[in-house]
Amino acid sequence: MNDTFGDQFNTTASAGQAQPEQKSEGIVPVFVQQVMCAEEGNFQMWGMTFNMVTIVGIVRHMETSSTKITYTLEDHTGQIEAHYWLEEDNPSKSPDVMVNCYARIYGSLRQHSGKKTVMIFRMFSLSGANELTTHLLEVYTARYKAERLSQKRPSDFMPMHQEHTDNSNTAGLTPHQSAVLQAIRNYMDTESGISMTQLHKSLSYIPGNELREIIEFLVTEGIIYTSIDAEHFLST
Amino acid sequence: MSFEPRSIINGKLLREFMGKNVSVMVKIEGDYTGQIIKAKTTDQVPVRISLSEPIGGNPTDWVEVIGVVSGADMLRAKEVIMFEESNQEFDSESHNMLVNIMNNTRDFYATG
Repeated sequence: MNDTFGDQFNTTASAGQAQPEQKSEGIVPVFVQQVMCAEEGNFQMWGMTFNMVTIVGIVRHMETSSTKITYTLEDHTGQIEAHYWLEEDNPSKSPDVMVNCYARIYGSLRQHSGKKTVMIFRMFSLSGANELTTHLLEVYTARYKAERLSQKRPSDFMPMHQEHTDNSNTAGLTPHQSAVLQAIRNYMDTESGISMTQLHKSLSYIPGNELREIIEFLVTEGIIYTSIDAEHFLST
Repeated sequence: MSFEPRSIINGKLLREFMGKNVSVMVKIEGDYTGQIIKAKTTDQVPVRISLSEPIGGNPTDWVEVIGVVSGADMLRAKEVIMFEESNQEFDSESHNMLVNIMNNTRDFYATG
């Protein structure tokens, strides 16, 4: 988006947006106050950068000039100016919104003589009160999800089956394989271990032939062994 | 119009926001032509809303009242915002849940 409009709006575009290393991640729903507190450039939050924001607010003022329409948009946190640039070959085409009614904008942040503004790409009147609720919820989701993602360390992305066991034997097992192993381990204090029938019963979600394959694999790997007969198992 | 930030609240929070700027979604009940109208909040609290001027036109079912809390069940409206008519009924339960989230989250403006 920035590339398309970059040349035309070089004067208002802030320095931050020119830096190619800033990886931006799409549209983020925000409140006006979040934008006002933001650093210059693309909107950043918890280490994520967004090249566009979406704001839902009451249109408080509209002013049309030959090249653009300037809107003042207000939500419960603040007011912000937003510019809709008119198309040269179709200057009568403008958003269908009314003063003192809600509208949604999609746009990118600009800084103009120290003042934050939004360059509007799309603008609509709100489809109903539910859209307001949705936006507000989305703003909260985006804000707290970004924080949670920023706190995830690589270790948090380990496959689930590795989190539940402290035994190095289980590393690299599939969830089904470790379920079978766990079931066998649960019978460790019995002399003969768990029988095939019992395994079938307690792990009914694993198909019979897959269960046999898993057993075979675990035996080959030396993780389990057969006890009183070929149908009973203990873990090493 | 000078801007003052407002909190989005529901009926049960009115007491805590006495004298403060708020925004409350309400369903107008009965006559809407007078200076004081009756309404219900998303958490079913009956409220009375005093208007500086009567609501012009035919209000939608649910409206947003922007104003100041003047009593445990009273709002002094600065304005009443109407929404576009939609086939979809207003999901007041979800909005009420939203209000609870908004008033129970911390450090919203922190950015890391």
